[in-house]
Amino acid sequence: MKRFLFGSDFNVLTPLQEIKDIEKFSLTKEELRTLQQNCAPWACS
Amino acid sequence: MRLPRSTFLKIVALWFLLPTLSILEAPTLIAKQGQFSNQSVWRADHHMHLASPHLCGLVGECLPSNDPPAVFATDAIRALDQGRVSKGVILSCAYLYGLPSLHLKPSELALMTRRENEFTAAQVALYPQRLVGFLSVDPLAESAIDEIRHWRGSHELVGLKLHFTASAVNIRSARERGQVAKVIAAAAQEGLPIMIHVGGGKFGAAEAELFIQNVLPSAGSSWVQIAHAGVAYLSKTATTSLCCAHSPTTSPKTTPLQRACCSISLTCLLRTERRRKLPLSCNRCGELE
Repeated sequence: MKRFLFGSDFNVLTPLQEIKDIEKFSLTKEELRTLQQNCAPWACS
Repeated sequence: MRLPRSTFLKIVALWFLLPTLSILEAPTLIAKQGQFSNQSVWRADHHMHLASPHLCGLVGECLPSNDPPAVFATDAIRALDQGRVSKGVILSCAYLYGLPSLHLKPSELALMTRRENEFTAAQVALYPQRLVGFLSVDPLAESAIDEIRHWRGSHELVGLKLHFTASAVNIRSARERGQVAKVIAAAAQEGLPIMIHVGGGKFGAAEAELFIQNVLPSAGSSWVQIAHAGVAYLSKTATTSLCCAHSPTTSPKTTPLQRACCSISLTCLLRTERRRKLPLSCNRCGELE
């Protein structure tokens, strides 16, 4: 999961809509937390 | 941003849904615009777009709540707050000026590309704590490399977005692969991370392999993010080739793909992997630190 970055393609979808879609995939809590925390160096450093 | 028309009805529906979502969200969950929120759950949305009124006038697919229709930084911040997301990566839509259907002359394409990138940079600058931007170009345009170099040292535009489908890149053409590789190399030379929406015409496993073997190495040590996990307009076979076909034992860790990461936009890859019971991770993509 550390290889994946969250992206909504706003304004095609909003981040909230994309998050709700992701929640349908039955990720484990750990997988979801990893995805929530993943941040590319250009965004978070 | 996806290509216009094919998703037009869906976008129209979203235009009507968005105000409803705003009402449903509890005000306490919404961060003060322009500032970080202690209650944010998601660290960043790595795939967002703004669009100037001029671009919207040509290709549509913009927010009608703005008059004239456009997508501004304030709209992105509002959406981030609704989703409790701290930061957003704004990808310039300048590449849309390269749509073949617009029939722009090279000089017009260069000028409009510059203006859209300037629009994106100016909008990002309004929220420096929340937003960072990527410039974009049509990689087949004569002006592409000059445009990348123009933004050297920018604090707002710190990466490059390419959209092969919008730019009608024919990956089976050796000449076009070479052109795209030069553009990617120029971005890498500037130290820019590169986000690529692969596709364009027929794009299956063979085309994905051409991309991997002939284009991607030009990124050198720069990060490469594959938009939509390579799925948006591709066959499942191509996606598998692009992200998951090679194990570390057959792909040395020093290859550019080991430093690539996949955008989970639309989460199609996860869906595909779950159905096929493939490993959840992409062996050819590098892990974030």
